[in-house]
Amino acid sequence: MTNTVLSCDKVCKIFDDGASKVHVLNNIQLSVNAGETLAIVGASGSGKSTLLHLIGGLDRPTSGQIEIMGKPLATLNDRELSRLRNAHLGFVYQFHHLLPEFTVLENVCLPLLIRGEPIETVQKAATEILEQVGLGKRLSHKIGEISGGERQRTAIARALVTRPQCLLADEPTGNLDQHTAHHVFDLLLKLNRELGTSLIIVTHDLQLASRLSRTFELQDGILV
Amino acid sequence: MKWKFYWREALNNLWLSKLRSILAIIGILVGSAAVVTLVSIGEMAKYKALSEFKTLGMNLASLVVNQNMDFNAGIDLTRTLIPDYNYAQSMLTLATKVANIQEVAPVATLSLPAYYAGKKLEAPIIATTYSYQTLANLQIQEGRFLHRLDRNNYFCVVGSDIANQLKNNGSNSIIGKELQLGNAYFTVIGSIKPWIGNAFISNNVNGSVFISLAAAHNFAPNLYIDTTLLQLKPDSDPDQIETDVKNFLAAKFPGLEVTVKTGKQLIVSMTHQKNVFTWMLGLIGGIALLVGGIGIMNVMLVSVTERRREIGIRLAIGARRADIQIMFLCEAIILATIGGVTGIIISLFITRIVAEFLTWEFMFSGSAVLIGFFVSLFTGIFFGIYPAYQASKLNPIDVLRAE
Ligand SMILES: Nc1ncnc2c1ncn2[C@@H]1O[C@H](COP(=O)(O)OP(=O)(O)OP(=O)(O)O)[C@@H](O)[C@H]1O
Ligand SMILES: [Mg+2]
Repeated sequence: MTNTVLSCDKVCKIFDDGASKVHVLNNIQLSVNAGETLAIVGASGSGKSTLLHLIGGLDRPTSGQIEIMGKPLATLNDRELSRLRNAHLGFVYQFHHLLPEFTVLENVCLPLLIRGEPIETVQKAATEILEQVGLGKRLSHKIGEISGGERQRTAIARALVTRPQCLLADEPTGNLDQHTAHHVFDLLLKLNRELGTSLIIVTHDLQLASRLSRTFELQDGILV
Repeated sequence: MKWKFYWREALNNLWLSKLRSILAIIGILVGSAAVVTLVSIGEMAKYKALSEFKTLGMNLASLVVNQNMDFNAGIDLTRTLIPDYNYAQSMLTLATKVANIQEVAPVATLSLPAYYAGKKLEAPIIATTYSYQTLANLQIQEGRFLHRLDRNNYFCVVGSDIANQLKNNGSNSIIGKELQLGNAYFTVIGSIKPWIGNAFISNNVNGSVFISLAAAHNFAPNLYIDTTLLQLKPDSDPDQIETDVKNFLAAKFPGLEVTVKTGKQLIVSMTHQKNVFTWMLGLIGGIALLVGGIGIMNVMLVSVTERRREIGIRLAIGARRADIQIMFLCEAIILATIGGVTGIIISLFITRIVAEFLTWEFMFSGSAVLIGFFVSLFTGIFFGIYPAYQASKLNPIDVLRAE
């Protein structure tokens, strides 16, 4: 089995809304091995989120090929994409995107429940991961009742509960203070060491980026 | 095992938006209650109409001479065609001449004045034979009905209303009292218990005086037999009997035209009519249910719009589009089931009250319940499909890009 978790080959993304074409990504070339940690930096609007969405199979590239765990995404149908996303990838979104009507625990349980696993084992796994991110005491709180940092950590827990090979995080510390941001990074790096999860983290903070093994910058649609 | 998840999620989501759920449920509830109530009422009406008839009229047939002859055109010409006493005598032989006929009762109504103790009674006089008792299922209150051996004796039997009038005028027993019918005096030999009626027999039994055909023939020679009632053997073929009777009459009275009506035919046509009635009511209820279904669809479409974010997130963390569809369908099914079942329960009460009010026998037909339930369920699923499809079509990126 190959060690490559993810690879992008000549990936281009053009948003074409009829009147104008926006070339967001241009010939992206990227390869991530198991256990690697990667920072992607870039100005706002440079296409960082777009790249993560493509990697996550939420969107399809205009041209080029993306492979996850050796599987070319272009050959998968909707259903297989969903399964792959659920099984191998963890997502932390730019705006954390938790379900406000549900509790912390329920939010973290969801990815495993979607797989159809029995609720008891799911709750056990979710509780474990929430304890690891330091939220063991807030399980039954609604999302609206916890702080921004705690939400971010809940989102991380939700991304990791499936034990993914690769975690995609879009500005996971975006709206956190310096101290908490470093704390979240500590956590991610700890999980990287313990679980061998590859990390691809989008951030504006170069200091945080420097803590990861490689840093790329998106500039005019090109990774440098 | 994944089903547990779908149902739990669906229930959870419905619980989270209680008001919306309740509104959708009410829509279905009203529809299902309307369907079940109306169908039940239709069924009760049918049952009511048919029940007494079935016990009394199932094996009855009536035979009426068509009045398409012009009696005034010339007495000689039409003489043999008038259903008179001779005709009645021939009819009486039907029981032996035609298979499967058990009893025959020719019935003539005489329009002669009746008096009791000098006071006029408003009572039609029915001349018939003793068989009439069996045919009309008359219960005797006092004394007896006409008998075969009465022959042309001037005996009469009175209906319950007449019996009451006779009692008002005198002592308790009415046996042996004398009634003046036309010019003749008749002795009362019995009275009949109040008669509930029978869709097959048009005589007003309770308000009539019964005398034998033979006696009537004696003092009122111009008898006109308007109906002949026939009692058929159970499980005989009424159509066959109709043909046999017509053949028999054609041989005896050439040119005489009769109409035969059998109880079975009447039941078939009544059942048919009532079924149409029930279906009409059901259809009206169905329209209410349709409105309820549109309500579900509306509520769910709103819910899809409101829950765009949730749906997008579910898709983003690996839910399949089918998962989303199933989840929404489960919600629709739950709403429809709760609405359907409560509707059925409510209609149970309504039907009870209606039955009480109309003094009908309360009946809750199982088929109405089944129809109500499955139509609700079907409505829920049918109108849930479109919102579920809408929900699953959502593009997760649109949601994720929005804050
Ligand atoms: N559906 C779309 N249609 C047209 N343009 C789009 C669409 N989606 C994204 N874009 C454009 O693509 C560019 C990249 O967007 P993206 O969200 O990837 O930027 P980003 O690097 O994540 O920025 P930020 O740091 O602010 O989150 C932006 O200029 C955006 O306007
Ligand atoms: Mg972004």
